[in-house]
Amino acid sequence: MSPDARAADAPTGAVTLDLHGDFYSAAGIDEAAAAYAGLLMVERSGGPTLHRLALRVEDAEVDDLVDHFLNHALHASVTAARRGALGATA
Amino acid sequence: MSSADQNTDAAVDLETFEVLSDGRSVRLQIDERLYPLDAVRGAAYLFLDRCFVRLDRPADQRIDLTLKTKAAPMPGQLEQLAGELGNALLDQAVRVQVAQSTGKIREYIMARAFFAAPAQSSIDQLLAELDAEELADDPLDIQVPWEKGGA
Repeated sequence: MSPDARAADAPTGAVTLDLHGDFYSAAGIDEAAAAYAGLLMVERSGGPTLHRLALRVEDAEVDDLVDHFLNHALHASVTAARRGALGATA
Repeated sequence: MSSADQNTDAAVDLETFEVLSDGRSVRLQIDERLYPLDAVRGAAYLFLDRCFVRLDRPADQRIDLTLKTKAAPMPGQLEQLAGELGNALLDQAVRVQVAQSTGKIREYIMARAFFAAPAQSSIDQLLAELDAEELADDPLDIQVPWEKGGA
């Protein structure tokens, strides 16, 4: 099931997402969770291959809050991966 | 149709894409055998400022990349995004390929730059030249007060 479908099926205010570890790192997700603390409550479980996230929207006034959170997590994950690649080269 | 439009359409044809039911999202199904993971990540990264981006792996060797506009899309905007994403994927794939093929020579050049010619030796050489100049006889015999004593 795609993330969109899961989000649509979830009860109002609560979303469950599975994010693949190839794209989203645990550190990236945690960084995004810290950045959105107060707006979004995030519980992460699962392993390095698949991160299961339980999200609860705390501030419904902000549009597309989960999408903003996912963008932040992806940005943090990609930049960390690039830093790692540079470190491996040096 | 302009040449730019033709280029965009050609890129769209490279991969299958679908406009999702929310009317704001377009999803591309990417074959990882054609576009390596680093290229997909790099292309996704380029759209983070304009779109909400999601990456998913529905099956082995297959990646779903979903772009969702941050506001209601203009007519044709989703198709254009799909085209731009196709181009970005190709661009990033070439970058990855070039980076891999030139990796050894870049490492060699960096190693030469940092380790083959030690910077300390050139500094020592400059200091030695300065010392030699100071110690040389002054052909103009200009008096230096602190050496000759006060007049």
